[in-house]
Amino acid sequence: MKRAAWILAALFGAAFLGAILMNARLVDQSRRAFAGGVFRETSRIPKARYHLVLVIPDDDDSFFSGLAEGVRSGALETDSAVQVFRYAASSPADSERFFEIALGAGVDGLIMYSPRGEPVLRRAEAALRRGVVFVPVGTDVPEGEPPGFIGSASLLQGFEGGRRICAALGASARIGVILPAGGAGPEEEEPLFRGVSASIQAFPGARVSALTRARPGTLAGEEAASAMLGADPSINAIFCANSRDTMGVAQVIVDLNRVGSILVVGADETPEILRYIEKGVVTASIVRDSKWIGREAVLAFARIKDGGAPAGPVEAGFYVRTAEGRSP
Amino acid sequence: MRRAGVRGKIILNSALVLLIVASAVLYAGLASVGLARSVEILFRNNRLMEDIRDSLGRTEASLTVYLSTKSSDALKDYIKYSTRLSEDARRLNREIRADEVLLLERDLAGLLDSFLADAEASVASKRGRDVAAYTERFESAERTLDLVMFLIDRIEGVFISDSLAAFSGFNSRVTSVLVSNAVLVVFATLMGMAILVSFSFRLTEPLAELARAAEALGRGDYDHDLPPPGRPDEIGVMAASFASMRESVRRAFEEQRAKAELERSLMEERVRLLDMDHKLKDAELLALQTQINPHFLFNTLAAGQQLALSEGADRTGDFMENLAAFIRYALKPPSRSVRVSDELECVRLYIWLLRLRFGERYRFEVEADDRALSVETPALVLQPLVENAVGHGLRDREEGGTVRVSARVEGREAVLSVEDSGGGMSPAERERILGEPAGEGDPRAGIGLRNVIRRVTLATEGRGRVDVESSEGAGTAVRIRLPLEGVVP
Repeated sequence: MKRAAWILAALFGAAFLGAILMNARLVDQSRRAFAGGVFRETSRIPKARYHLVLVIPDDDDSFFSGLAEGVRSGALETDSAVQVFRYAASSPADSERFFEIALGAGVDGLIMYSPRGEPVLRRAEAALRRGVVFVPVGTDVPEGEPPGFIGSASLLQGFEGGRRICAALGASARIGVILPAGGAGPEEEEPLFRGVSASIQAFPGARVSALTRARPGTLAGEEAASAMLGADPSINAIFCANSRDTMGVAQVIVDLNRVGSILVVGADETPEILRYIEKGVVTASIVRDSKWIGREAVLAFARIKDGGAPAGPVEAGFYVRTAEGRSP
Repeated sequence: MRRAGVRGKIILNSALVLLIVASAVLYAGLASVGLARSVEILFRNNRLMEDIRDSLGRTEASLTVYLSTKSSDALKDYIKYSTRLSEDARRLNREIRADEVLLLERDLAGLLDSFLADAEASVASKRGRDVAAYTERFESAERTLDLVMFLIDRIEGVFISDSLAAFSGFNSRVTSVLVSNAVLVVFATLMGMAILVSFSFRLTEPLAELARAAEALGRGDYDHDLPPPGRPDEIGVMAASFASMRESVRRAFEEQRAKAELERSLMEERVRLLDMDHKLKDAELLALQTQINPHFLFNTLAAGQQLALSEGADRTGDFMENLAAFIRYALKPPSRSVRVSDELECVRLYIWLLRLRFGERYRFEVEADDRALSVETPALVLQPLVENAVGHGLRDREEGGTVRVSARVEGREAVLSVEDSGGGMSPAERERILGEPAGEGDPRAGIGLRNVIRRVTLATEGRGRVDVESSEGAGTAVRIRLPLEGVVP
């Protein structure tokens, strides 16, 4: 009886101690989670030298994720803390609010996606007045060629895409071009289209059969490709300017069982695009090096902050991803 | 050290069980309170944002009123709320750290500074009556205000998002905590119940054993198991007392039983003696019925003696005198005690009478130790033996015989002996005479000897005895052995 009592007491003690330890651990975990998520234990987050803001559209285009990645990479090199503001791609005017916030808050630097049509020069001047280093980034140099711009040069991207299609299809190339959403101005004036047009000049007979601009949204590429192929069955090549549209077009080609009969030249590289390239659905992808752009933008900011003058517009260039690999 | 009694044990045990359950419940409660406090911190940052929003709204409202009316009350309100807003802004992070919320707070702090600067400038311009300037700064403040509100919404959204993420993990942990605490409480309850049952059993089992032992004692079972000795509590005392009481009852009962046995044997002895007395009485009655009235005979003999003396017949007178003396002695109660000397005198009278009858045919010898003369003896125990010796022992002896009567002291006994030189008895005859009267033969045979034996036994309360030694052709010797302590009268 006495032994059983001791065993019971020992069991209870162990259970009680175990429960206390478990409770303590769980409560501690909860407090840590709250501390990390709510309290922001500042002592655990190192101080940075510069407060840098990146304003980009809230778009699933890999160009922007690469851009943010490049900025973060550059921030590490320049001891900067990066704050990313994403505005709705369907509401580009919201970018102005973030611009004003950045200026009103007195941040050190502002890297802002600046597509054609936006008041980049005005912003640059406003930022200069508030002592904020302004570095516009994008695909094409905005009007007025603001200083410090770093872009991917969609004119060259379009030219390379057209060249690749025409090299494969020759004079029989009937090309459908899908422009990215959010552009301003006439579609024919888009550098991307102008690059395609320029490239097919060398292949008489080849022509752009369709030109359309994708609507904002994830399914825009599919929608545009379906409409384009439905309207003009002679199209045997589609060129698109970003990763989201590339994946949408590839899915349409697969769904229509037109793999091999329609040549697709896309943009950028994601795991899905690489898989489509490997399977032959996508012939080639013109990859804009947005990481480089982001990193270079931060380095440009740091140079200006350190007293350097803004450089002229810089174009990052691109490389091509095919089933054979990367070139150049 | 003195151990706790039953009451103390009950209190201690109850306190232990209560302590176990209470500690588990208390701990579960404290853990729950800790978790609740953890939840509270989810909304701490949101409260700061609400404070800023409130101060900002009141500052903007009072500023608007002041710029519109230039009211001193509005100015006081503006100063009050802008001061509070400034204090709220100081609670925001202003350092550059790579964290989304901290940077948002820094943005907010910067915007609030801008707002306050514009507001302050507009008030100053209002006082300076610079309409264009205060209008411009007020509009700038209003734009900044929109941005601040937007930023606060965004920060709160981040807070809520973060809080929800934290709460999601917290919630799963809360479930684990609650389950573990519930298990702990259940376990503590079971443990408490087990302790209570165990303790109750240990407490009541000795009492139950005592009850069973008491029940067994009621049935006369004195060997039923008792609780083991040595318990230092009231139950131990009860068990020890019960064992002692049981032993006392056992001893008392055995003594009572032995006493009853003794009384029973004494009663049997009394009954036997009474029976003997009745038989003696019957014998005496029988003797009286079969004899002439002794008083009449005694008076007649006394008259005869007077007559013989008056006529000069001395021998006849002596006969009458001795016969009368003998009858006088014999008529006294036979249950009385007399001295041996009296008995011997009676025997001598009887022998004188016998000689008168038988002449010198029988020779009688009487001898006595002086120490034996004063010994107490039942009356009339020697005369029947002498009568038997003459009447039975020497009756068939033509040549006569000798009857020897003696009294002496041997050790702590007085021995009265009557011996004859007659034909003796066979063992069967001896047994017949000493035993109960049978229906065969002379019904009076052995009556005298048996009477003597009974009266000696009765008078000495069994301590005296009568030995009969006889064999055919070797005579008979009857010896009465009396204790020297005396005879019961």
